[in-house]
Amino acid sequence: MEFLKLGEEIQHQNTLFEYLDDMFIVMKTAGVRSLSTLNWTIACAFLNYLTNNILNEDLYKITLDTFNRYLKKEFFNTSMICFSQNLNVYNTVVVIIFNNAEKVLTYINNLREALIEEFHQLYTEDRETLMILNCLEELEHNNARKFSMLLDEKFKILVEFLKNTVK
Amino acid sequence: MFSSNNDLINKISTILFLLKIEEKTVERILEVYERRLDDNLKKFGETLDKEKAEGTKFQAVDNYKFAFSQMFVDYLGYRNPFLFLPLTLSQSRILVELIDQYKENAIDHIEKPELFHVVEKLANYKAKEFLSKKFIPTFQQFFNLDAPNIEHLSDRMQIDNAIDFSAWMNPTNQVGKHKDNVHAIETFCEEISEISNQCERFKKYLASMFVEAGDQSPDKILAPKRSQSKTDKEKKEIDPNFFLDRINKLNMPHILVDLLDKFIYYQKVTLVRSPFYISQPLNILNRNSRSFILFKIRITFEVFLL
Repeated sequence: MEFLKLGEEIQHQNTLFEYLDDMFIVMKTAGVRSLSTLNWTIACAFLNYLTNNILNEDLYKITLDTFNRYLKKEFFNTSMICFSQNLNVYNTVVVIIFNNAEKVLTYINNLREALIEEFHQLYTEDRETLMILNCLEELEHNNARKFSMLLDEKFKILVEFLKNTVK
Repeated sequence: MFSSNNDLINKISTILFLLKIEEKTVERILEVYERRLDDNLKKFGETLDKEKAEGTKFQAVDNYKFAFSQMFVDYLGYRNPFLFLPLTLSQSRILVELIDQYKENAIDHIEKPELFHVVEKLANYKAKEFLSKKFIPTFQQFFNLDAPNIEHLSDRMQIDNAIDFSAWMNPTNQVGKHKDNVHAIETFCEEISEISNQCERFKKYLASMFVEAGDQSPDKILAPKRSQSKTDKEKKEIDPNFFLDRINKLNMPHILVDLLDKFIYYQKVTLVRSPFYISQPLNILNRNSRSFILFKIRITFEVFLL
């Protein structure tokens, strides 16, 4: 759960814009490197680690915690939507965390495509290397659905909260 | 696989007969090829002796770009007493260029470009001859004792001691303070990946070479009955699948397994905290996202009411 600590740091240092790009760039670099070993055991082990630990657990918890921290009912009232600088900042933060959650879906797909492209450059398809392709498919399949459900759920909550802002 | 040069020539001759190429031409190529190879290797060995006397040090990292060529050079090194020592990058390049040059010379000599492939096969058969006698039985020893790249990385496995992981992982530390550690780990992982890449490529090369040799074996094509009369041991020796099994069953050198284990560990570390990448382009706010549009509508509505 080291990413959670990183998540705390991100919030305190106002780097909400940055952490997602950083994480996926590092994931892509490490993923490509694991494929470059040409050792299907190593590649599968590492891709499964990306799928199950980094995306499905750590990044999901960061996203969930960020929603829980900023998407609270008490923040949504009739004075929320105005031209006050402080409230505009808060509104922007809410937009950013939703925006980031949406971007996760795009980034997971991009990550999968980039790794598949690398796979085709390095490997010839046979029974063993097909396992790598399966790992890459699972990378998107297992995580995209989970993030998509989280996003839909939080979006409904946002709509409900926004109703409280109507005077 | 081949008991003598005569056996080798006989087998090549049969292939050439199938390819409708004159036998005498091939003998001449083989003769020229071997003579030039021996002459040049002798010269190369003398150069090595000279460089060794001058104390030229081996540069392990740069040699990673020579996957099979490096192995082929090492194989040649075994046959020549002068070459029984690690090669430098420049030495490897010279030798690889020489090997390529022999093929070109042979083509020029007989003016038949089609024979390029035959000459290439000759090189492969000679490699196979060596492999069947010496290389495969001592595969692990080869990696453990005579592959400086692996040994070099083995020393660097002690990198744990050089990095203060607890300080690096502490989120209160300033970004960029531990950039050197990130560089070290990134380099380490890159090198391990490259080593693994070379080993896998070389194993695949060996496998494909035996499959190719098996498909074109004159014994298999022309004399199946004669093969049947051989003893079980002899039959096993000419069966390419026997060598394929041997290659596939080879355990990876223990030291390489350790390195790959470290590779996984260090890659995980880079995923947890990597300030090196903080300077990457920012995540741009998506103004078409649902939440942004929702807020925009809500604020517009408010303005309209006012």
